[in-house]
Amino acid sequence: MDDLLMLVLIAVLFLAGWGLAAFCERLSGRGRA
Amino acid sequence: MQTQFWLDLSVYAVVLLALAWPLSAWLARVASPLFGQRSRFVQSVERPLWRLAGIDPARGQRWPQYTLALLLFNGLGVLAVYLLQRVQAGLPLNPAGFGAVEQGSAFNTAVSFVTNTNWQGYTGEQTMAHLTQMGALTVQNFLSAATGLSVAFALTRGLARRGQETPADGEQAGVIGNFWADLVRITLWVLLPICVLYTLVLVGQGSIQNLKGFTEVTTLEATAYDAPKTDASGQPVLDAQGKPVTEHLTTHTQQIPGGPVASQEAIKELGTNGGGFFNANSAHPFENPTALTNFIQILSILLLPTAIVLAFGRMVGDTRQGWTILAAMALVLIALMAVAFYAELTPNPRLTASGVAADLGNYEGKETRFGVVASTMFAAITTATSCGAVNAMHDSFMPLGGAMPMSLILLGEVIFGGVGSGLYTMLVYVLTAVFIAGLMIGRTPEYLGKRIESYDMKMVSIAILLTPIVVLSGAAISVALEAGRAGISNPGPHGLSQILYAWGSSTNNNGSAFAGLNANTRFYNLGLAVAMWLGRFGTIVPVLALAGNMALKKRSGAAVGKMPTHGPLFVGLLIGTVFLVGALTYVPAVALGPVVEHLQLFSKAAP
Repeated sequence: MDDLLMLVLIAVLFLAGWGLAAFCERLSGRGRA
Repeated sequence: MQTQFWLDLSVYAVVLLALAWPLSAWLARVASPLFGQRSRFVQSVERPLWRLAGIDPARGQRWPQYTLALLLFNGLGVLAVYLLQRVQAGLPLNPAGFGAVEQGSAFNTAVSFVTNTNWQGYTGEQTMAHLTQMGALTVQNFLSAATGLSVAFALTRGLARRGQETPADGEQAGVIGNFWADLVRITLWVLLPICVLYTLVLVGQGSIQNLKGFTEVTTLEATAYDAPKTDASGQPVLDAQGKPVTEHLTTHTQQIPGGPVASQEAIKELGTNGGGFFNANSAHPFENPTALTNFIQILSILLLPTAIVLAFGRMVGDTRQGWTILAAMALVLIALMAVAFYAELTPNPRLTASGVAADLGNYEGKETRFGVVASTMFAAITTATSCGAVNAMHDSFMPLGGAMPMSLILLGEVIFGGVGSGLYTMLVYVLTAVFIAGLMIGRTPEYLGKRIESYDMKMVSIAILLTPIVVLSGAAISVALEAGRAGISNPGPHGLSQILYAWGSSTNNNGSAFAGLNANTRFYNLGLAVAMWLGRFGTIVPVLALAGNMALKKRSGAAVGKMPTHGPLFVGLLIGTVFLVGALTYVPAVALGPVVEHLQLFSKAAP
C-alpha cells in the first residue's frame, strides 16, 4: 500500500513539473508544452 | 591560525583558477553543436551509443522538447532509484544482508539524489547495499550533475544565439541544444575522465574501494560505551519519565565497514552532490583520509562551478562577462567564509568556563585531523555550492559560524552554486540586476545585446520566488505541527535553526544538515522530498523557458549609452541584487534562529 502511495507521489511530482512547463509555455502565448 | 587561514585560502584560489581556466575551454568545446564532428575518436565512441539509444545528437530541440526530455529522464530516475532500494534485499552485492529501505525513506532518497541534493535521512553504511550505493546513488550523482550542466549550457546557448542562425552553422533558430546529446557528452567527456583519475588519487591516499561487507576485528583495548536498552521485540526501553534507558557495555571487537567508497567520493565532490557513503561523510577517514585529500575535496567542489562560469564567458564571446560573475561570487564567498572563521575562533564561553582549552577555537563537532581552518573552509565552500558534503558537524558551529553556511544556502545557491545550477540561477539574478538598473536609468534593459522583456521577467520571477515560498512555508508548517517539532533535538532558537536549515538545504538542493534534527520520519521524508523536487525543477523549467525565448531574439551590437554588464560597478550591482532580493526574504527567520542564539550565548546574563 505504501509502495503504491510513493509511486503515485512520483507521478504527481513529474506531472507538477510538466504542468509548470505548460504554464510557462502558455504565458508565452505560443501554445502548449 | 589567522595566517594559516588566509594562506590556505590564497593557495586554494590560485590552484583553483589554474585548473578551472583550461577546464572552461574544454566545457565550451563540449557544449558546441559541432563537438561530435571535430574528432574521429569522439565519433567512434559516441556513434554506438547514439545507435543504441536511437538518438540523433545533431537534431536540435526547442525549449518545450528539451524540458520534456529532461523531466521524463529525471522522473524515471526517481522511479529507478526508489525501486532499487525497495528490492535490494533480493539482489547481489549486499554482503551485509540489508533489507529493503523503508518506503518513505526510499522515496526521499530517490528524489534527493536525482535532484542533486543528496539530503540523507538514513545512515549509509547501515542501510544501503553496495549495489544500491553504486547502481542508484553514484549513477545519479553523475546524471544529476550532467542535468545541471545541460541546463546551464541551454541557457548560455539561448543568450549567445545571434537569432539568425542557419543549419549550416550547426545551429538552428530557437533551438537550445539537444538534452540527450548534452547529457551523454557531459557524462562521457567531462565527469567520467576526471572521476577515474580522482578515484585513483583517493585510493592512493588511503580511501577504500572494495566490495566487502563488515570485517570484525579484535581491538587491543576494551571499549566501554553506553547503548540504549531494547526489549525482546527490539523496541527501546523507557523509564518512568519516558526517557530511553541505557546500559553500560564493554567490547573487545569492532566492525570495520567495506565498500566502493573512493569511486562514490570522487563524483560526490566533483558533481556537488554531497551524499556520503558513510553517515559521517567527509569526516570519516575512509572517505577523507588525509589533509591532502581534504584539500583536493574542497578544490573539486568548486572546480566545475568555477569552470562553467568562465565557460559562459567563452560561449557568449566575451570572457569579461564570465569574470564579472565569478568576481561577484568570490567576493561574497570570501566575506561570509571569513565571518564563519572568526566566529569559530571564539570557543563556546560555557565550555571554556568549565575548563576546556580556548586556544584552538571551537572544536566541538570538528574532526581533530582538520581543526577550525579546514573545517570552516569546507563548510563555507560546501554550502556556497550545492554540494552539502561535510567534514565537520554544522550543528556544533558557533551560532554565527553556523549562520554563514545557512546564509550561503538561503541566498539561493548562487555563490558558485551547484554544477550548472549555480550559473543558471545566478544568470537569473543578473537579468534582475540589469532590469532594475534599466528602470533606474530609464533605458530598455538589455543583456548581451538582447532585450529583456515582460515574458523574460515573468520567468525570472517564478525562478526566484518559488524557492523562498517553499522554504518559509515548509519551516512554518514544521514549527506549527507536532510532527515537525518532534524532530528537534535542541528546542528554542537552535531548534528553529535546525528546521530552517533543513528546508533551506532541501529546497536549494544543498543537502547538508544541522545534524541535530531527526528528519527520518514520514513527515520530513515526504515534505522535504517535495521541497527538493520543487526547488530543482521549479527553477529549471522557467530557466529553460527563458533560454528558449532568448534564443529567438536577435542580438544587437554594442552601442554608446548601453549599460555595461562587466566591471566593478556591475559586480557591486549584482551583489546588491542578490542580497536585496535573495537574503532579505530570510532576515526575520534568521534573526529568530542563529542571531537570537548568539545573543543568548554571549549575553552577560547568560548562566
